[in-house]
Amino acid sequence: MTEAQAIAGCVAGDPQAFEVLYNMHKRRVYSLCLRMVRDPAEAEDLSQEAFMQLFRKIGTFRGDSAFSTWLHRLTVNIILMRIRKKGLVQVSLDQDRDDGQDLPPKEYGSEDIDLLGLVDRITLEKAIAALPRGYRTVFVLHDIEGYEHNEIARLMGCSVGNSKSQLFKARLKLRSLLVEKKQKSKKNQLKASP
Amino acid sequence: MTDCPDIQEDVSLWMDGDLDPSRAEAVEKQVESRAECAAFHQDLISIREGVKELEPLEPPEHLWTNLRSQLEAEGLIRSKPKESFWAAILPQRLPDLKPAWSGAILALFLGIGSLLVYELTSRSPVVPVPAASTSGQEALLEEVRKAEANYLAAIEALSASSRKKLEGLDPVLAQVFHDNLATMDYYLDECRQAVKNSPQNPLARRYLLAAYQKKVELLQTIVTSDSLL
Repeated sequence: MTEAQAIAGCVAGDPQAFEVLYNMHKRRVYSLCLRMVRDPAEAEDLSQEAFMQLFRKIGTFRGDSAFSTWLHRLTVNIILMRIRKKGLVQVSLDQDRDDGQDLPPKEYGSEDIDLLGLVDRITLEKAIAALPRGYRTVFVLHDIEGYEHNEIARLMGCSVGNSKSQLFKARLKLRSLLVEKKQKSKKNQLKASP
Repeated sequence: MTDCPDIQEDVSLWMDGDLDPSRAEAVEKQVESRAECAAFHQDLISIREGVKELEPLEPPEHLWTNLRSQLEAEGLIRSKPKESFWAAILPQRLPDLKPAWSGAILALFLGIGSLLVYELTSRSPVVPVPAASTSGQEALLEEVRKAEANYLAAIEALSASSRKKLEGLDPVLAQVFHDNLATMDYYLDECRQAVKNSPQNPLARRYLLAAYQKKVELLQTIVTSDSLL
């Protein structure tokens, strides 16, 4: 069954079509939710809400944009609405917080901090999950999901400059988390060697 | 070695093509000429490349089960249009049934097939069928009616609890049972019609009672369906 056939089947209420469409997009939707909110139970809840809204509105899909883009935007809106509703945004996006609390120190001494070769998937997933929520939201939308700053700004109700600034801070924080991880594993290796 | 703090943000913007040309050129020169800036730039590239390699995460299995339940509850999933009887009992349906039920239904199907063939041949004027005496025929039919009444009472007694059970079962398994019950009801109608048309036919009577017996057994299976899971 093609995506177009599955969409038509969903409009007609065909159970198999719902399952086909769900299987086509479940990973992307769930990954986005989990990376944005970190909590698996909440990610499941958001994914279910995204698919339910999709299936409720599927009759209105006119094919002006790719179906996956439509679903993706719908999912992002649901996640951001949930975050706003719960008041979970820890880092204001209207004001830059340059108090340095979440940012790494700007100097690291003389150690070589080249990350090349270090960034494996699990480490990176953990580091992204450890980002403060405001940074993580912009980082996931821009660097993982490919959103432009103007889209992020519109979605999050902030300025384009603010979105760029948040992204820079997210990358810097991510880098410091990865460096920290690299240093820890180096120490462990030294301890383990006779 | 410092960590290129003065142009870190510009390096990040430069990577995304978000700097005006003159500033971009200045940053590029800095990155080329200062080892610490080149290292910082390389780190950001490593992160960006690492992010591209991230794979989508698999949601848990129960997410679809929950979603399907909600879709059903909201009426977004509609039941399939009723299939014809022949489509319902075609061989592809059989693997869904429990092996014992497949066998029982298949045996009943073959039996009713034989009965219909027998009926057709017995209607032939070429072979006259000796008529049973009216009183003997009445007695036989009375026996059938009694047995039928007993089976109907058993079916009625089991129906309520089986309906309740079906509501709580996994939708796929429940659908299999619904399909089987529909098949059994079809057979029952056929057998009743055969007995009505040929009350003297012992095969027709035997298959009618066998069909009732199978329906009772199927209802009992549904009521005790926990043991199947």
